[in-house]
Amino acid sequence: MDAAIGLLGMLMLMALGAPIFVALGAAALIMLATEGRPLMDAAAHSINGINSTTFLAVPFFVMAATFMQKGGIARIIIEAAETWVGHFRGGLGLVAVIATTLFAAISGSSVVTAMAMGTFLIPAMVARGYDRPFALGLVGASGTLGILIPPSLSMILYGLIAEESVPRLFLAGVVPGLLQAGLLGAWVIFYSRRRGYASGKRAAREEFVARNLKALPAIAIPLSVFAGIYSGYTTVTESAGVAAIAAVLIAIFVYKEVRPGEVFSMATEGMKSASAVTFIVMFALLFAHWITGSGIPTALVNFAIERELQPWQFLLALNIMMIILGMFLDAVAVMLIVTPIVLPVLHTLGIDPVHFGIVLIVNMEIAFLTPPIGLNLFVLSSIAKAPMSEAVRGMVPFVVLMAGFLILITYVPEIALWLPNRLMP
Amino acid sequence: MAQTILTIWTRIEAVLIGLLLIAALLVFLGGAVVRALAPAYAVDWAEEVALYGIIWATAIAGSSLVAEGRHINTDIFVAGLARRTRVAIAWAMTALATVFCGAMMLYGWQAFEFALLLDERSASTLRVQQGYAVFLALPVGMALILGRVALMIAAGERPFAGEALTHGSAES
Repeated sequence: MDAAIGLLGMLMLMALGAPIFVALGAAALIMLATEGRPLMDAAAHSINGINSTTFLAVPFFVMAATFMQKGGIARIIIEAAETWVGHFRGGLGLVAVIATTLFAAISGSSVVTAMAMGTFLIPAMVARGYDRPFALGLVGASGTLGILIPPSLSMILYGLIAEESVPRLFLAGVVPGLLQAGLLGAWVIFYSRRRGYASGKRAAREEFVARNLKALPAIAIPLSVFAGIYSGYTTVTESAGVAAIAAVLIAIFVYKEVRPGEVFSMATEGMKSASAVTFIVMFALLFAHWITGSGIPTALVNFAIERELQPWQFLLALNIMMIILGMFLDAVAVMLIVTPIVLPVLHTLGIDPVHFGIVLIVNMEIAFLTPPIGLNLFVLSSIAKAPMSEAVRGMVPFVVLMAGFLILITYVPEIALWLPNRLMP
Repeated sequence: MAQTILTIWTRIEAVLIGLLLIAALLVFLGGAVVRALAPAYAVDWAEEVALYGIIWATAIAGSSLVAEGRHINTDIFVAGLARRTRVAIAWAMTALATVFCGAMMLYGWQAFEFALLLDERSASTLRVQQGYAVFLALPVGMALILGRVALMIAAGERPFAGEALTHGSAES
């Protein structure tokens, strides 16, 4: 009963507009105090939670994403993707999917991906006769790939809280990420044929070579991250550090969109962005500390055993709950709240935590698209200066598509686990 | 007066945050490069020092985030209420956040003192006091937030106005 009060209290504080870190921390602190547990330990637990080398990867990846976003990478990747598929019917829609998939591998963030890509793609698509709700929906849904295609900040945070291997999580995101991109591409082809969208011009050979050569340094960053991690030559954190330095150098010396004098202020900006998430993580860890001792996970395990709950039933219930929570709460907060509660049950029911991590991430992707607080909706409607209702209308078919994709990922664990099981058994 | 202090404070914090991040990145990568290229000269403290830099940068950034209204919150449930109710709830949440930060400063300080008492040190050859390197960051970060809150109220601003999710947050 007390545990339920703590949980509801935390959700109520969030609903009333308290900063998320305060809602998590205050609820945990009050509940720990009522249980008579020492509050000095609570403070130590919060700060010590981020005293981990894996955590170092977060600000480094955010710094890389900041320089990539402002370093002209988005435009260069779009120009390269246009030479590959721009000449097909609905080519610009396919360009949106491919360019966003590539940019997702660089940025690690859904909102940054949607923002960077939407700035260029939505006006271009509208100018070429694509209807605006479709453009908004497509870029919004493709933007969510930012957290599924590795490297992904959300996967690092999940790895931290669930104590799972981040390289395994990264690998588990590859096939689902490509599958989602494929599904979006298939929808673009179908929709473009139905609407009769025009094909673009095929790029001349020289143009093809020039644009792709120009995009190579940008694409080399995620490739070098993967090569480093999976060759065993660098850790995730070292790869994040290399990505940060490479992003700075490429933005300044290759694409020349950032001046050396701007590096310091941009790095500071990146660190502040990372800190906004870290504050939530710190107190989510405190909340998880309380949850673990509160008896909620044990009660959930007992419930699962007594009712002879099957893994598919449990995952179905969780998906429904996470979709509802994701509509009203920050996606990162949902992940940080749900993970410590359900982890023991996953072990009891034999659900692989890496598979669950990917299910969680796909739920977060849907949360970015669903009103009332789907972040990609707000970002894109503001970029396109379109009413929210139009953005919501544009997202509907993509949310349906993503719901189907979620079912697929939930009930065919091999999609997520095949690659990590083969490469990191 | 309060506004002038806030401006200077913000600049100092920005410099510290940037310096700590860049120093952490260079120390971390420097350590990795030396380990790969000249293992004989490798140090066992590069990761640890980089982590201290990032922990302190995070703690200091907490106050800047208050000033810029970038601590993420959800305003969707209160957005539809009458203006007066909304303002009252917003101030109540600011008060709650302030009390919470005060409590974390207090208990964080106790955790710091306890770490000093136990003489907790890192495992590397540096044998850094964990009290100063890690635990002190929490009460200092919270004290900075409280100082900022006091100055913002003096300057007629509402602290913890928050980056409401309905306005978009680039951090997710």
